[in-house]
Amino acid sequence: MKRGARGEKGDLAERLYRLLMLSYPAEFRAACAQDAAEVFGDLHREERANGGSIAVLKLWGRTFFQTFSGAARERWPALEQSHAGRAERGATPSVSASRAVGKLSPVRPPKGPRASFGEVLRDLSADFRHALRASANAPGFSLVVIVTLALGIGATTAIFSVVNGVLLKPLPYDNPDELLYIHERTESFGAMSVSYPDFLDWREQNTVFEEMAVFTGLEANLSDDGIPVEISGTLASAPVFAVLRTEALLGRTFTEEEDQAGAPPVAVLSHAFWQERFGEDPDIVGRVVHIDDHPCTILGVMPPGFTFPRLSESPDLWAPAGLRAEGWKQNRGNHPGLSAVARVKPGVTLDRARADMAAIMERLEAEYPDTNTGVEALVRPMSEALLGRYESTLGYIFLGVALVLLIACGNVANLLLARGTFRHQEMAIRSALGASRGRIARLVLTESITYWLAGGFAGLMVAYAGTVLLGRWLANLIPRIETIAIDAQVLSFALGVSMITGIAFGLVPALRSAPGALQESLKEGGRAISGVGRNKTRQRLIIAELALAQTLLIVAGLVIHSFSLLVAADPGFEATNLLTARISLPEERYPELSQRDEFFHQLLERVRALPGTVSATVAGPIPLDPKSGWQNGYYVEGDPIPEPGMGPYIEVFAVSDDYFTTMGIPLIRGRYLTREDGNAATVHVLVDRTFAERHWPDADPIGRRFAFGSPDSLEELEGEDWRWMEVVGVVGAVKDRGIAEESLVQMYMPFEQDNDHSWSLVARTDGSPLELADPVRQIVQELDSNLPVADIVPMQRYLDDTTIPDRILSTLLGAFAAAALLLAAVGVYGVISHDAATRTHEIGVRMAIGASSGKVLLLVVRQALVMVGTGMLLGVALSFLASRWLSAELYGVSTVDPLTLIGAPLFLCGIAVAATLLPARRAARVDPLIALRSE
Amino acid sequence: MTFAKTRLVSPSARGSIMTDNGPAHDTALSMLPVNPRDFLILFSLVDGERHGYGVLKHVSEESEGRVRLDPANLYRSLKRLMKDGLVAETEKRPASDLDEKRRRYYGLTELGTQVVAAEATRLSKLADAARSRNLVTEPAIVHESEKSR
Repeated sequence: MKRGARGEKGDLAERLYRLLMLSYPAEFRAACAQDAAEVFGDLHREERANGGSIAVLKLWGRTFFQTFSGAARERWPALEQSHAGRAERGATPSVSASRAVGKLSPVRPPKGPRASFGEVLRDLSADFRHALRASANAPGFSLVVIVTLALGIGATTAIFSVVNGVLLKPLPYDNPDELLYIHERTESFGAMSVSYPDFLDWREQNTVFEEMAVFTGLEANLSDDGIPVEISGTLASAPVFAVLRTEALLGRTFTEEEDQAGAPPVAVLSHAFWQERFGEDPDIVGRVVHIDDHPCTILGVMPPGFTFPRLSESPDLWAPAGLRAEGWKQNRGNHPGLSAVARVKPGVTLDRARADMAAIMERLEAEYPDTNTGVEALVRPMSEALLGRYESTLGYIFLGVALVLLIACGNVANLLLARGTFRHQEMAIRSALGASRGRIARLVLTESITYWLAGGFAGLMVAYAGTVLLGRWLANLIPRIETIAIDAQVLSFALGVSMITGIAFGLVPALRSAPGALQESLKEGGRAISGVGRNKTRQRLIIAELALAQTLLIVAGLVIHSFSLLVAADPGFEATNLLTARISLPEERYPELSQRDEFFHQLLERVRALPGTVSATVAGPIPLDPKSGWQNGYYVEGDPIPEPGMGPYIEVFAVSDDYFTTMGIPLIRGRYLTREDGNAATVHVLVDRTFAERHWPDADPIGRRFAFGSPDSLEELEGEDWRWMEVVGVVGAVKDRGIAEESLVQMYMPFEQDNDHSWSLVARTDGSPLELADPVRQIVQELDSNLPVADIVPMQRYLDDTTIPDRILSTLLGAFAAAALLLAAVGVYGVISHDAATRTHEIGVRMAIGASSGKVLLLVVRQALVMVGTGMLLGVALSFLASRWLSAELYGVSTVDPLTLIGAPLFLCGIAVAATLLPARRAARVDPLIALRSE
Repeated sequence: MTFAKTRLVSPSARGSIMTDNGPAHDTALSMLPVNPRDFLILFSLVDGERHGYGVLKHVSEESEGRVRLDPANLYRSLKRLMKDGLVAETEKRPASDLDEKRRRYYGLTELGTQVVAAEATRLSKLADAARSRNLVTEPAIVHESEKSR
């Protein structure tokens, strides 16, 4: 046969299609598979070019069903014909069978025209009723089968409900595919927030967006003749509601005029906050509350379910970004934590939007080389920006559970095959009475599918319980997890999975139910025999199961090993027994920095005096806190002037004395900061070890100077504005973005020298950190009764939060691997014990002529070992493929981690051998006399 | 309507291929009606030989996208049509520079040509009958009646 010009195997689509073609008989494949695959390749390319991924998906869906239905029709007539052929030669199974049962004449339905639809339906319902009766006749067997399937299908469905709810469902906005998130990035810094002047230019110059808006978090104090509360709001520019196409439920949202510096403050409440805080007050619109001591008018309430920018927890309120815009406008190089959201005009593709933004960024670079050199726009679909982090994690989990389902299905197919050996007589009689082989195959297939549907139905209950448990466990860990449910999509998924696996795995026993040896069962006086072919099929199934279980076990081993390293890794400070709490001082009441300093020094004094406090400090930002972060470009004295946009960045922490002892960050050189440093004329700072090693590898860093910013010329360094900072000590590096993330170099300056008003209190405790929460709250109340305390969180939680995907992945894959192992072991046990049972006679003969029970044991175990060994090797090979994809998810573990690659196969082997020993020992204890009498 | 000149006779053709129109024509009539998919496949070969992908495209176009064969089922049908002696693999292919893939080509046999023509005639008569009862709303495609030989 001629091969295509693209090479022996064709592209991936063709190869996958060839896999589908395996459902056809070998003879047909030999004649047509190559051509069909090539034609499919052409179709695939055309659909992809014309219709994109949706068209390709449709093509696959269509092809999938057509292939299987075609394969079934191709196979069954073939069975009919081979039956007829043998009848002509006079050696038909039904004839010989009829001899065995007596004088039944061979009855064969004449090959007439095709059965009408009604007849097929009647046959099907008869088959179905037969299947129900048959399963009711073997309740124990049916229970095992249905429970196995229910667990497999249920677990898969539950995981699918998570994937569906979190990733597949469209975001809760009108036409969410048109929504984009825009950030900026440079080569040396990576992704960063948006500069406000840049945003204003984007909004003016772009040709692709219907509308765009910026937003950022707002942490503020709200008081309304009650106890003050710290609210978590969102500052957004006015068009944000137009971008999201959402209007207020009550009142209205804010306008461009209200979104200006100097405009009287206004806010729009979230539905939940309105309910919780204002008791659904219908007269809320127009009410004035105090936010950070400014009077602020409430304009409206958003509808329930509206949330932005986070998908799970809605902010309490939205306020115009214009309040802060004056400050942001001053400096184009300032990236004050803003993100941009935009809606593309209808028909504009992502590529076009990216190209348009790139063109604007080029113009800005030419116009403002000081601030914009090397700055690019980072344009992503909103769903990717919000959920991309979970895509691969959930993908792996879904693959993992799919493997478990395959193993479970393999086990059930195996059980059905095993039962088939005991039902040979029934089938032989049916055949003798004139049932064609196709008819018998259909009967058996209907039985299988009935089991699968029953399993799927029971699986829905498992899935329901699963979604409840997963929802509870994953709440606050994954966004949108509260939306997971058994809905129409999930239901159709469960039904589809049951049908497809039912047909695919049900075909195995169906095609094996009518082998040529049917008549043998009758001839041999009714002793159940297991055909060689049937046993081969069962062994192959077990080998495949073992291989899949082995793959899952290795992958889970790698992920768990990686997670254990991640948890045990040193973040550079001691995260246990640390309490953090955020306190924001309103500028209205604390206009002077000295007042602020006074407040915090008092606070520290009183917190340190609490029983249970070891030490306490204030800092801003603190490591790992997702709500804060401060990075600056810097220049080290004596270095060459960097190219514009190429200067390095540093992570900045402003801290009070005692920060390092409280956090447990070791001092490497020099000294810690003291309270005197807070008032020193020169800014004294500490840097981390990485900074010192990078810039002064061979020299003493103490006394060296560096500064924020990036100078254009050496002259600038002499100017008045240039403010050097002097290094007085070197401390250990902290993983301030999580263990697996690269950190920038770090520096610490006295908090007195920074003008921020929002700070975190960090206290080291000698017991559980949260025990200190109430006393701290009370101290703050006593110092200022109008001041709330926000985010009282143990530091350990911030650290744990950075490993959420790893934790979920390792927990679930670990559970799936255990389930896979158990199922595979059950499968091995089933095959070996069934095999040994059917060989009782043979074993009896062997023992009668002198074989010892040890030899018999060895015989059975050896057969099992061949199976286990083959499965194990296949599994190891498969896991190599799988772990190539996985390497990005692993921390500190190589994909050829020897511990896992040796340990996991040994473990599998151990379990499998244990599963073999029981039936093997039973076989070895066979009494030859009884065995031979069992004839 | 013109037919491509090269027709191969399938070795397994049903009955013998008649040189005169009589018995072969009867054979063709006995095979009616042709199921719609098979008809579309046969019809796609009327203008000359095509390879599998060409048949698939033509069928999809002629049926206005309603009949979308998957490749394996296309080859099942082709296999069956070859067995019935309506279609044969051809030896001659279009010029080699247009045929970089060296695929297998399929063409109608004499019998196949007659069957497709007979079926077209039958459909045309049916369409006429329908038209006379005002069932046809759109301008109907005018079928050329069977070519006399």
